[in-house]
Amino acid sequence: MNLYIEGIGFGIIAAASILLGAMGFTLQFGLTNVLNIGYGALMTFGAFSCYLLHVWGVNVWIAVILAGIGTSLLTLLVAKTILTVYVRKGAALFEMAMITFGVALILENTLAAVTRSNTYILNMGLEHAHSIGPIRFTTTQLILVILAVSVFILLDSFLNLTKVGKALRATAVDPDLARASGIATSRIITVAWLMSGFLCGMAGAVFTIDIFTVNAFTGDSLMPLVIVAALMGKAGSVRGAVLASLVLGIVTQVVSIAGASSYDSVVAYGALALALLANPKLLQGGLVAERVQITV
Amino acid sequence: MQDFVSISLVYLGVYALSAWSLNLQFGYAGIINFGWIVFQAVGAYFAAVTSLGPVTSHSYQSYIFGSSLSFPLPLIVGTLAGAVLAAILGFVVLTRKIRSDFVAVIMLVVAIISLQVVVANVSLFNGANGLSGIPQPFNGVMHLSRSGYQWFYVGWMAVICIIVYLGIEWLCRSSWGRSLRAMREDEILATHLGINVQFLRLVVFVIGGGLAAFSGALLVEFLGAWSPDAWSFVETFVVFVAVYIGGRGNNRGAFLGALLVPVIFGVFPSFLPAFGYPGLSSTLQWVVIALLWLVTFYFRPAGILPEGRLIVQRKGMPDVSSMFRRGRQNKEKSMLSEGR
Amino acid sequence: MTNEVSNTGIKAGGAASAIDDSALNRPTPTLVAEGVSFGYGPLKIVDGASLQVGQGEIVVLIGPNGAGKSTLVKGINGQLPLIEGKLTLKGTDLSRISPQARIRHGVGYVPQLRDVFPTLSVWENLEMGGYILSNASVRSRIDEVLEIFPVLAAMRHRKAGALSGGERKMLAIARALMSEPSVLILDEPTSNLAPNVAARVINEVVAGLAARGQAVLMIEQRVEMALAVATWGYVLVQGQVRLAGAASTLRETSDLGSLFFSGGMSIPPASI
Repeated sequence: MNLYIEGIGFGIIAAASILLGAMGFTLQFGLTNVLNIGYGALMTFGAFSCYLLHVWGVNVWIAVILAGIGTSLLTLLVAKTILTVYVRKGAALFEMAMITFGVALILENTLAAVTRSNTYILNMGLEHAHSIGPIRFTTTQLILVILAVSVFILLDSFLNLTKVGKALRATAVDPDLARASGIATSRIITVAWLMSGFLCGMAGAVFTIDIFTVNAFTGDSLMPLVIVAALMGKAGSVRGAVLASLVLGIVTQVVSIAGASSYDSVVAYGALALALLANPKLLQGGLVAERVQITV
Repeated sequence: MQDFVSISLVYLGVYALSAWSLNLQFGYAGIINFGWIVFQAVGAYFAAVTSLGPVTSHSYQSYIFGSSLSFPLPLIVGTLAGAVLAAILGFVVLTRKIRSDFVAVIMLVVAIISLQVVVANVSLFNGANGLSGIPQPFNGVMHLSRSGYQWFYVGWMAVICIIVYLGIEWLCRSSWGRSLRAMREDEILATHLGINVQFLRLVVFVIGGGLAAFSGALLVEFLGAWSPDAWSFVETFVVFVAVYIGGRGNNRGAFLGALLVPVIFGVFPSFLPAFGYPGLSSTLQWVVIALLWLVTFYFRPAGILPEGRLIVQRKGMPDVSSMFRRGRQNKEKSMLSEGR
Repeated sequence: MTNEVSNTGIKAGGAASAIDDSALNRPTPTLVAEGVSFGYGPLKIVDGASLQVGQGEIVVLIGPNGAGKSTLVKGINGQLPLIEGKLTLKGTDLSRISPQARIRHGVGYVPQLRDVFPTLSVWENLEMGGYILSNASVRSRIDEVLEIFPVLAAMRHRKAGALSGGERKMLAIARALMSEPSVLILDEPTSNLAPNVAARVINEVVAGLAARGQAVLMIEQRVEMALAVATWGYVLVQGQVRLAGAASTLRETSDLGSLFFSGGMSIPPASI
């Protein structure tokens, strides 16, 4: 039994990186309708940035923030240059998804070529262990969880209490009506790209700190869970993404402990399928082939 | 050197069948199958387990079934397996109205889950190590050298490709094919015309699935081995890119696209002088194919050999065809945020 | 309501005819469209239409389906580029102004279907309606608007998607009013509403707004109901204004129905 409680503990820690990634993904997807399969590559960029900064002597937690900033800029660049180009050409939804995958291939394989496909170790040094009941964790893991929770609270407040945050939510729901209300939707979308890119970079950095390693494809191992968590919560709903991340984090760790770790993807997708079956409206029109607008 | 030519030609044949199968599923049935590779894998696996012979205590690999059917039965079994899988998945997806990128992701998820299940369950298809030692058809009978057999297989693939091409062209030019093509652009019209269209789409999807599985079965009989390494999303991506670059919706275009794949992955690396570290060229391959995809989609979104457009021009009405010459008119056409 | 005599009436640019000379009693126009055309590519869906709306007027745009009413309104809103003609609001040329800036010049638009932000609360919807206002004045403006719609005041924190049809349409109109628009454009406000609710929206809400001096341009399919409360009407058929006149006169026109159904002209065009 204790083993399972431990699993829950690990799950909460794992959820920290999923959570950050899912919040970013759902913001991106909710606002632009682009299913960004290149998200994993961007997380890899965040992970690598954090690693490099750490190696160069920067405090690791500052490195996480800087990695987030760097990734946000890269995301905006990719969105405004590459994605916009194809949207202007009239690309369909799934074609945009393929475009993002193409960009990801280029980013990650170039990185792999430069790093000779090496895997690097992020050395956090000797850690002090704490425990709450049967759950054991290090200081780093504690900070990770606190960081993720703080970011969530900040983001949630921003979306619900500030004018720009509400304009973001409005644009996500109905860009035409937002424009009719005088909201500068293109500026709002820029904000969305920057914010989601920041979260994405942080997610990659946090993930790499959690698993101690980084290589050219690190983000790809986190990405499926991130996308599932984001889609399980309503598209564009940050709270939903957080809840789903917690569920996924805990479930996959518990499944691992129960001895079926090779099935963790199955479990994750099964959870998504169950969530969808239970509430088909969860994807907010995502399951209906209506005319969907892509705004980048 | 010769080996490399014959092997490339066999791969050309396999990719041609793959591209045609994807073209059927995507261009005619209108299902964006990001999990396409799972069909090829199913065909490969089922052909393998029906020709490897039963699992004995001496076997170094474990798998289900295990019969020693003789040619061409394993091929048929493999194809049918793909068709059945396509029937199930196609039914699930076609009975709901789902937006295109979600369909793509759902199919992708199916592929990922299947991959995990196979890797985790060694008793199914020998898990991560995959299957090997699959007998090559006619090899025992003909006593050809290794390269001789490869050339034989080239001929075998050529015959198959010609037959399949004729079959598919007939299907696509039939009234079924033409109505599907028309329906493809307009889902609302299709639904209003009723269940028949959905059934037709399912049939075409199943044929595509069977064809994909057939390609897998043929490939596994050539290679003698198949493992989970061979089925990741990038494989599907490659076939999609081939179809897109060559020209969607038409089979000659798909063949042209299929030509690109062995060229890039076979010819290109072998002509590069060995540089960098081992494995660099295989990494760079992906960059090349991704760049090729992005560039081609930008300059020629319809592909090198686009399908002809069906335009109905009524006398006396404004010139409709000029509206279609500018860019692509697509059901899910995107709009920019400003000034429209 | 001003008593100034306006001499623009309907320009002879479109094949329109005025039935009587009550055009002379209309207030100074706020919104003026002169011979405007909107469409997609070479196809003109609205062809040389002219209309005007002044303070306190309820101007109704009616016509058969496909006549181009929604297109005309979308054009005024900026969602379609102006192919030809002139479009001004309080003297400002609208055609140079992007859709999201038109609200700053006084266009208040209530779409037919997607007219509120369903996941935002009533309060937040109004806040978004007042996006262009300064932070200081938003609160007081919301209070002012809620006085017009006391029903909404009671549920300010409810999600807009949870409102009933009538409440939702009131919120949609309230949202548009937040920016104190010079002209309020309503695209089929009563579609999807039950008849009694529709009656309340038209007879109480819209009429009440006009009584306070709001210029209202309204597309409506419920012709009888709309003409009962309107001051002026334009009949749009196949993209052109075929008929224009005081609502009371239009109500009495017996050929109105045939205009709708035949798509042809039963009244020969006459220039004013």
